[in-house]
Amino acid sequence: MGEMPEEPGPALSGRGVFRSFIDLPRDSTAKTLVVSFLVCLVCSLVLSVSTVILRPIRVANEKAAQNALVATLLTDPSSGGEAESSEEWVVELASGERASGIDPATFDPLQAATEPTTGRSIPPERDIARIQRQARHAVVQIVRRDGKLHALVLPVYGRGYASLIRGSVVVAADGNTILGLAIHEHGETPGIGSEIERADWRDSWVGKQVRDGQGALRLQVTMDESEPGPEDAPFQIDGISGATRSSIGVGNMVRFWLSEDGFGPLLERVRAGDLR
Amino acid sequence: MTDFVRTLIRPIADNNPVAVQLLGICSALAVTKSVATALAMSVALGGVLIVSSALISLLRKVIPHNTRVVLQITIVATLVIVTDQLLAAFAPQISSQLSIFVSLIITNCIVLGRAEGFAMSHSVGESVADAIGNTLGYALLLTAIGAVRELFGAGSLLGFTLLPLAKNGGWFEPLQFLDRAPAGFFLIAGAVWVLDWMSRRAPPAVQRPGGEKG
Repeated sequence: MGEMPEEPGPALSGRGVFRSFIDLPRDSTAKTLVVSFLVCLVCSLVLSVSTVILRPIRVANEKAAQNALVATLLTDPSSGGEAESSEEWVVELASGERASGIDPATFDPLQAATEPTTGRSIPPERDIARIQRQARHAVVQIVRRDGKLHALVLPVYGRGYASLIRGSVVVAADGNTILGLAIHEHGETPGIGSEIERADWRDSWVGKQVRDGQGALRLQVTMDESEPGPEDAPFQIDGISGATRSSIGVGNMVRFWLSEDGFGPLLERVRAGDLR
Repeated sequence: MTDFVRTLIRPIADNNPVAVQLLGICSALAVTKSVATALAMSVALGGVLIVSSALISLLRKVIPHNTRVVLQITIVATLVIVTDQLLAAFAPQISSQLSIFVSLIITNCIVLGRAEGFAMSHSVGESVADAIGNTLGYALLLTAIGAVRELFGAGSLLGFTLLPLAKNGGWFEPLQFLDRAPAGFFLIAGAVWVLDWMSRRAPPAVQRPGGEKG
């Protein structure tokens, strides 16, 4: 142990150094270090190669799964086989206007949020989604049926209990009715916080109203046991007991993104009929 | 019976990793709600176990004594991450059902137990046989438990309805208990009892293994 390798004599060739290294006892310090290093090197190479090769496939899978989930929210059994088209728009959040010059396919909101020119910080008292910074733009999906605006698919994200939750909120053409909520990605505790993925909870969002007649943002997730009165019922979603913080987190994230800091200005335009 | 076959068969019943050595219980509780997830988990574990046993056995003469566990974990962890990525890329559905339990294969005592307890001291062929045997033992037990839980907890096997559920107009009222993780505990305890009872009935020539810890 701790024995240093013998200094090879000047007469030894490179091959000789290799030989004498191989002949070292297995537990000599030099051999321990070299073998450990080599094993780690090979392992990290394998990992890097596999990550780089498989990433595009995984990203495509995720995208396909997200689209499939959003598609189930958009299917309206009452409507027949009407022509449906969807378009990706880059929207400037503050104005709600369509922005040009940004490619929706490559726009990364999390990356854009970190840069001072493409992102902005959120005042802590309004940061209910607990994301600190947000991008100035977002990619929304505009869904049309028979040429008329049918729905908007809005990307949302925010902190739950243990992780960043990402999802999509589908809002109807009136700019105020939730058509559905899809959770795409989260790292909440499996079996506990992961209940936010449950289909029946997702369904409980359908048909809820975002704002009341006075324009106040009323939509929220509540853990209140009592039955909501007719006043509140259209705006309230029952939280999941056992997943309180995760479901409240989802509620706050949706509230944040539907507020003036999020897609509020865009939805205002939709309500005013500016966007068809 | 050749040594190879004996090494292969022993972990299936005699020295079953889950029901006799009581290793890998955590994953056995979590992924046995249905046969499909139990099988997928067994394949994932099997892949990691067989490749890691082969690699570690191949390197057993050069792996330094002092850092052997670190290097074993490094190799196993690499294989686990690659397996996780492969599943996410080519079987996304299964991957999302198994969620974190694929990455938790690294903490599955069977893998490190076989690496340290067997592969470090046996030839590549024997180590692979041992790894296949342990995979089969694990898969057999998980699939059996998954079958019981899926059949009586959800009325189906591999997704095919065998017992029509009352809520879908059939007659079968599922045992909701089987849907919960503790049910796995009770079923594993049952399997422990059955295997113990079988080994007691077997002729005394069968030697009970001991001293292998994971």
